[in-house]
Amino acid sequence: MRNKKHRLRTWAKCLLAAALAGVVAAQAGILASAEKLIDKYSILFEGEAVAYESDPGYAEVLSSWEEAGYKRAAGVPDIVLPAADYAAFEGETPVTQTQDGVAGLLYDTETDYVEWTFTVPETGLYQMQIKYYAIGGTGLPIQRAAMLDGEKPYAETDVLVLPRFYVDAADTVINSVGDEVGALQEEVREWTTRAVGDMAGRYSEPLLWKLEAGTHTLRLSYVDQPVLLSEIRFTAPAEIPSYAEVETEYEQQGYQPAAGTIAFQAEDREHIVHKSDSTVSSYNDGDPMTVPKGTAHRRLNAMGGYSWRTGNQEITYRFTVEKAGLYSIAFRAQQTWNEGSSSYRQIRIDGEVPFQELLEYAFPSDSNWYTRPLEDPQGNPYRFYLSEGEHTLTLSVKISQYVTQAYNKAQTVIDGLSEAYRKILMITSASPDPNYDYDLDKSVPNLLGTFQGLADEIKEISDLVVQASSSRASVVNNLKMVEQQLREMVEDPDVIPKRLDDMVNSLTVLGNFLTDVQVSPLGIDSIELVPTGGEFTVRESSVWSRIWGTLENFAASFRKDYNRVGMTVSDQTVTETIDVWISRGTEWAEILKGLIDSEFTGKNGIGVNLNVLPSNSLMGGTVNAMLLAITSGTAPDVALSVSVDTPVEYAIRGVSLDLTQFPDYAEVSKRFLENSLIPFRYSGGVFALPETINFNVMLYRKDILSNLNLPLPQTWDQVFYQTLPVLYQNNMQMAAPTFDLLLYQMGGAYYTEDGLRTALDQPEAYAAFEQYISLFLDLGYPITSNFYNRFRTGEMPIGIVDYTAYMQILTAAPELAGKWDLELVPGIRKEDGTIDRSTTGLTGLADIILSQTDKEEECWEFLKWWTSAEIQQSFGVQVEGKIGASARWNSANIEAFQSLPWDQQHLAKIVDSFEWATAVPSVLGGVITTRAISNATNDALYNDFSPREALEKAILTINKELERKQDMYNIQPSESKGAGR
Amino acid sequence: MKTSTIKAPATKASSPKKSWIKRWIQKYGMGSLFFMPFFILFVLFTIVPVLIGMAMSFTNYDMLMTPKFIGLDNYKNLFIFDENFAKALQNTFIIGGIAGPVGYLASFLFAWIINNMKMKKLFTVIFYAPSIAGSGMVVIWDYLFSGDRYGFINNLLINAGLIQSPIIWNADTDFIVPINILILVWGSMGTGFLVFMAGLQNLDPQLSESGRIDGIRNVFQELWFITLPQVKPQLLYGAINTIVVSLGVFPSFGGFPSPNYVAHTLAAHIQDYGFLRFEMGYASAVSMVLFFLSFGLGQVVIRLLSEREEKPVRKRRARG
Repeated sequence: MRNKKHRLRTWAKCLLAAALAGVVAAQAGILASAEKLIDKYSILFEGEAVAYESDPGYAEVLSSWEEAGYKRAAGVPDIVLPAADYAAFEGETPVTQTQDGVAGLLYDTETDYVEWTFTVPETGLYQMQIKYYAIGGTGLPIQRAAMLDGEKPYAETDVLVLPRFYVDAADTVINSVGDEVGALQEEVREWTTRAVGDMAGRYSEPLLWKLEAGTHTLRLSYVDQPVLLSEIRFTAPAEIPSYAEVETEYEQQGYQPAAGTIAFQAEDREHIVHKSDSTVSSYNDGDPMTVPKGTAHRRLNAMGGYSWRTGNQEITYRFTVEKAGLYSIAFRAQQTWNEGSSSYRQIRIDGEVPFQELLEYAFPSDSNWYTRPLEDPQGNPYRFYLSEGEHTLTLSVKISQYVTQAYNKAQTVIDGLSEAYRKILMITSASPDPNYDYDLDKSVPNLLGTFQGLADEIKEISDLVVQASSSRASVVNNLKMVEQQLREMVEDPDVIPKRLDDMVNSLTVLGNFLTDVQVSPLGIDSIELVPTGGEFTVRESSVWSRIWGTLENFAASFRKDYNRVGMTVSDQTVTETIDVWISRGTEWAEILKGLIDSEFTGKNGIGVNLNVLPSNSLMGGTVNAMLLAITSGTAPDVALSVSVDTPVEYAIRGVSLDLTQFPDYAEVSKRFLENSLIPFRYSGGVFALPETINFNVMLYRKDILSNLNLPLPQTWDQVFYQTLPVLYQNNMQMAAPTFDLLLYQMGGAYYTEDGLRTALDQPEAYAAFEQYISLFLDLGYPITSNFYNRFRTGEMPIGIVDYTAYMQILTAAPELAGKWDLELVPGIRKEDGTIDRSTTGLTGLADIILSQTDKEEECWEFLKWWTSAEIQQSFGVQVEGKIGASARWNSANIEAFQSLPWDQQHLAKIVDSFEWATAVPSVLGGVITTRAISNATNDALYNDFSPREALEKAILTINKELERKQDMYNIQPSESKGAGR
Repeated sequence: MKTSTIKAPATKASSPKKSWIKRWIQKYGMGSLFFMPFFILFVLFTIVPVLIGMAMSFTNYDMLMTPKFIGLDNYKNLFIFDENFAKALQNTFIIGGIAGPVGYLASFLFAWIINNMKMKKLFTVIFYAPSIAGSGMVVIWDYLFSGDRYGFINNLLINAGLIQSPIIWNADTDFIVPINILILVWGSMGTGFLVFMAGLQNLDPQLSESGRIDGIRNVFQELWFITLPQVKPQLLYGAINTIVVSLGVFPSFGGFPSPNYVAHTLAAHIQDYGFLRFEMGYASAVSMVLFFLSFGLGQVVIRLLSEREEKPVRKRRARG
């Protein structure tokens, strides 16, 4: 008995010991595996949070200086900084170069910044003048950023612009259709001294810099374009008298009205000294009284118009005065674009503003042309004393000070409203429970006070806009609506959760307001200088003459061939002519034709008949004109801007030409990214050249992410474990990537190497598809969402976008300026530590040669010329100038792409993304693939298929179709050489 | 006495064939000049394409290379291998079968109601307008039925508390077909509607007066016994019109092709194969099926709606 007990106790002790040992071991084991877990997951949590600081604006800083008692410097000598006497620099050493007898410092892209030190004798507010010579570069304005003593005085110093100057290279020509065609622009270069102003033209005087007595450092950092700098000066600001003072001067000097009228056409090449932007051009106006008359046929009879609308764009005219004396200046002008708002211009005579009132002179809006002299608000024409000889007259686009104030206020209102919206969203979520009392006025600190303040600000904005307008601008109504909504929300806070959509709407309205007030177009037909007291020639068209003009146009429409873009080269110089169809709007076609006539036909005698073709959309029974033309044997020789799968579809059927047959193909193909040619490869040949390319990048809101203390995700794991949870806690979301992106990043592909079967049956593809579906079903990504709107309100502070969406945010969301940035898309970390950031959809539109042509050599010459860097760049600049920044040309020619006016930092990232960008190959029967994937997604999301099942179904469909097509065309596995991945 | 037989007017001494032609020209010559323009265009742009289509359906024409004769292969594929064809047929019958009769009835009903109202012309224009504007309205429908939570209808429903998350109208297969039917009905007040209006305005008032005397009590009885029989020709025209349009219906909402081919009708199938997949021969075969379907159904309707009363009488007499 004792033995048994003893044995039991021993057993118990052993078991206890074992258990204890086990517990200890387990702890150690847990610690060990926990460490491994930490190792694994710590990699997810690295990175610093996004930093965001907003710099104060010039208006704010200037008023703070004035309040502090700083005065404009007066009566002091200029502080001269010779450019060659720099104190420090970063990057490549800037060298000295002499141009036209003046020595200058060559400041090119390799030099990051240059610094100068200088001494200031007297404290005050100074202006900065730069003497520079525009050299080389890619035809864009020269931009530098400035810092004083290592600090940015105000946000506008981020981009200081030194413009280039342009003139028409030749006279205009009448083309074969009877229309007048403008000449190309060429740059004129000479040493220019310019006082530096803000880049948007919002402040009519050059920027002021606060300089205390003592030593200072000025740093100019490179932003864009090389330049020769001779010297930088800080000068006392030019004191401009008021008109009353000028008049007293006239009295004292005893000036008399002159004799003899000077009149000239605003578009007259003889009288234009230069323009500060190559895109400011003459245009055709159909008013019958415009000289020369341009009704039935197009005549470039007016200058500027909508192309002359952004701040600081200026035109300088020259004229000769026979007899000295007092003159008044009249313009026959038109401002029909901004309804109700006036367009402002700064008027300078001989480079200087004669009096204060001309710093910003208002040209009111009117539905017709009007002839008015420069006059004071009472209607008395201003008088200018002009001595005998040649003078210049400069008109420069400025934004009225009222509008500028309204603009600045609107920015703060948008900021305030967005923030309020996000705070409310954090509490109510985007779909608030309609039956719950949120008591937002209590849960969001000072919400009602904020709204009240915002409503008052908006009232002030409306008042400012009214002051700047000639009549009730329609934009004021929109502002009043926003103000009304805010006041209603203050009165009845319970209504706020139901009004979330209205708040989003208000943000859009305000955002649009910002875009709208930045344009200030004005068209001028003629300028006349008349001795004061004299009569101006007024050419007002009557209703009848306008009706007659319309009838003339209508009659002409029966004779004119509008599809045919007219030739300007006479037929004698042309040896061969090729037919080119372009699938874009007429603006693009006209610019192309202009280039063709001067640079292509003019140089090698190959004529081009350019026709505009509607893009081949197939929805609801519209006609595919290209296909039908080929069927009927009337196909063109070259087709431009066709969709990306067309070349191979045509190649399969022998209709498009293999470009590798040309001996210099290899060289030409180097102009493009290797991967952008993938969709054009078939059976060993390449059947098109890419015209445009696309890119995928990640956009993020700096201000929101820094508020949330989030770093930028580099991998998808970081997105899922780090970014998404924080976003969801704050009721925000992220936009989903495409399936393509996940597929390629996970190492999958659509087709096998030979392009005969789908490669979606591989494990990588299954994994990618499952991941893709789980984005929506498990991770809460919205299936459809308008990224543009949600990025603006901040509901989606981060997302992956393509070129189109990027341009949208860039050009149509001005209130976000400075608040967002670009980054490479998140990727998948591979075993060797690198991150695979593959994206697809690289190739945009294509250019092909149809095999029906009998002029293959000429067609190839044309394609080579069209895709060359020089022509692509010129085309891109002109398109952007004519249509606006939203039409930025995403050329497939990489050299040209980089030379277009992208933001340099964004451009660097975009070019980085090209390392990973690729395109899906086109295979025989490939039309089915997108469809099958879309159906599979549909099945998995709505019809309760598991992702595996859905993908299996898609694989079967795709393979069946591919086989069928291969059967139809008798393709054997050994013959086909696909494009690979 | 010899009775003189009335002889036919003297004709020129020529072969019987010629005189038949000459007779035909004399009888119908003037009239044929009137319908010749339409007839030529009809033959050229309707009959000839149908014949060419028939010919193409026996080839493997892909629009770009020369066609090769392949016999009945297309039809074989069509009926045996193509699962989408069966789906397309089914969809055509569903969408066309609902939208067609509903549209037809609606057209007649509205024509009848408007006929009894003041301001006929104004209402006629209002109801006729959607059918002309049809294709331009796609943008509006896409906007209304946007899948974004801020899309118009989604937003209304969410704000009213009826749904929690947005319905993706143009991707969720449950909704695409009903929306297409809705759009079709909305745009179906077309020429049929106008023809009904015309027919209703030409009714014989005497019949309705005598009907009232004979004891017709309400409007619906009048409709059934008096109005409808009078407008039989218009009903026939409207019916044929509706059948042809319904069978040839093309889904305007939901993308092309619609997800999982849920709204894929025969017309869409033809368009898909003909222009997207470069198989014009196959598409011609499908269109032949559509043609015979429409033709057959049209014949059925004609038998139903044409004047039938005489036939039974004739039959009895022939036998008797």
